[in-house]
Amino acid sequence: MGNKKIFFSKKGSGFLLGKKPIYFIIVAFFLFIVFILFSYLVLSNISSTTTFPENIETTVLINRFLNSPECFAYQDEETGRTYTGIIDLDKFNNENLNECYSADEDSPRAFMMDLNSDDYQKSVLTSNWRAKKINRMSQYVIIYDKGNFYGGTLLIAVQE
Amino acid sequence: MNKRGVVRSMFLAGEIVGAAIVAFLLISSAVKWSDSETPYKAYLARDMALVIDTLFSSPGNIIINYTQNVSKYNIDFNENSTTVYKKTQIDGMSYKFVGYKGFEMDLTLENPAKIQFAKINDEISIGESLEKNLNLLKCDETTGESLKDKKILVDPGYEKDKIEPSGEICGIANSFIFKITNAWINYFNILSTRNLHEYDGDEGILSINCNDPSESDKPADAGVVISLRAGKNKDTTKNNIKAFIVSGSVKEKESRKLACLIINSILENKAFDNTKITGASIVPVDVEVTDKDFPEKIKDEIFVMLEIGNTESDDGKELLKKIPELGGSISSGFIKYGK
Repeated sequence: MGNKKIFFSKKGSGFLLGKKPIYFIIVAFFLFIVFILFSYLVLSNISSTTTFPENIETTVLINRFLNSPECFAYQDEETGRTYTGIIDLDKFNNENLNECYSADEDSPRAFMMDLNSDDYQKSVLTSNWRAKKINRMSQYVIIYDKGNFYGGTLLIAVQE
Repeated sequence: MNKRGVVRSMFLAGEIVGAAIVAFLLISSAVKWSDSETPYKAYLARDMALVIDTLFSSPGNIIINYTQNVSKYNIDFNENSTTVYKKTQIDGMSYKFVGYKGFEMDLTLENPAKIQFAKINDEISIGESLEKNLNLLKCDETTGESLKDKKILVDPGYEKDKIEPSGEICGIANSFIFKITNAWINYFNILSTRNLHEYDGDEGILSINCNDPSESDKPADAGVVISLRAGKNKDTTKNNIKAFIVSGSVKEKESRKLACLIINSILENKAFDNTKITGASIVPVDVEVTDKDFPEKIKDEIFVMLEIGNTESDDGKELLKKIPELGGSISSGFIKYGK
């Protein structure tokens, strides 16, 4: 009760809590802004000093989809040889994609891919795809389907 | 001091502490970010994340020797990021990579002199010195059966225009028989395309008389046929291990797995560390059209013809001289399959 009297006394001690919290809130807010700006400036400066060649990361990740037998690349069961750039149609599905590219929300890239040929049109996307800041590219590929090979196009949308 | 004075002092102290905390945060952040090494740490973190992404993109086995100087830093690798730091992770810089589903890693390298990244048979490894073999083959994990009670025919082959095999191949065949009969196969289950010496019970030795083809067992009587040859390639830079199996055989899968385990046992044997083996492969062959001298009637058997080294190259000759080691490796692969 004694404390309550001091903090909420109308005789002046109320001034202590009446103004200070507002002061602290304002100061904290400005400090927070300063801190964020400071961080942003320094980090963007660091980022600019460590720039990697444009698209290298995207290229490496796209190569995974086309080259790795765990993703879409066709692998000869008899010899175990992987044929890079040949897409096994049986593997071209969301389940397989998210097995070989286990992205979370913070992952640097997300992908959506459309595989088109005269006979097929199939789309897959990674679990972190949100359709923002998209770059598009396309690539000619060979499609393997039940013992036969066809030409096709892979349209790749990359979310940076 | 009256109560108002006490409260005022408390607030003043609180303000000082708060200001000190804020100042500390700003200064420590400034020190951290303005550190001249921070961009390098950021670069290393991103570069190594990119290397790991590259491993996941590789269609086969790959070893990457990382060439950047990382000896001043500690590096953490977990399932989706790399962090480079000096003392604590607070001063660290991180970058994310994307692994396969279920990929797990929890590794810290402290001031590593060098780093190797490897993907061997779909397994990602990172370390200072991995001692991985690029030629290792991926063996089917599902196929297999016990060979304990099967008849095993050992064929030491023969050199061109002769009836006897080379001395080395004969020695390797005998070393193989010695190892498996002493490990777990009964000697009376061993057959050969050459005459077998009497089993010496005291010494526990059964061996092939390689120069005597007068008594030849038939592959059809065996469940497993192992045929051994010395490789011969005019290209003296080559020193390969090849296993030929019969394409379309009823036991093709089993033959492939046995061949794979035998080859991997040879490649993993430390005794061959100083001998350069340039490659390893399993070659399915159509017996109707091949010029290889396969034993007859092997289409329905587990059959592996192992071609070792290259008699034309120095490395190949060196390899073929290591008779007990080769015999031991072949039996070790055989036992892995059979058990």
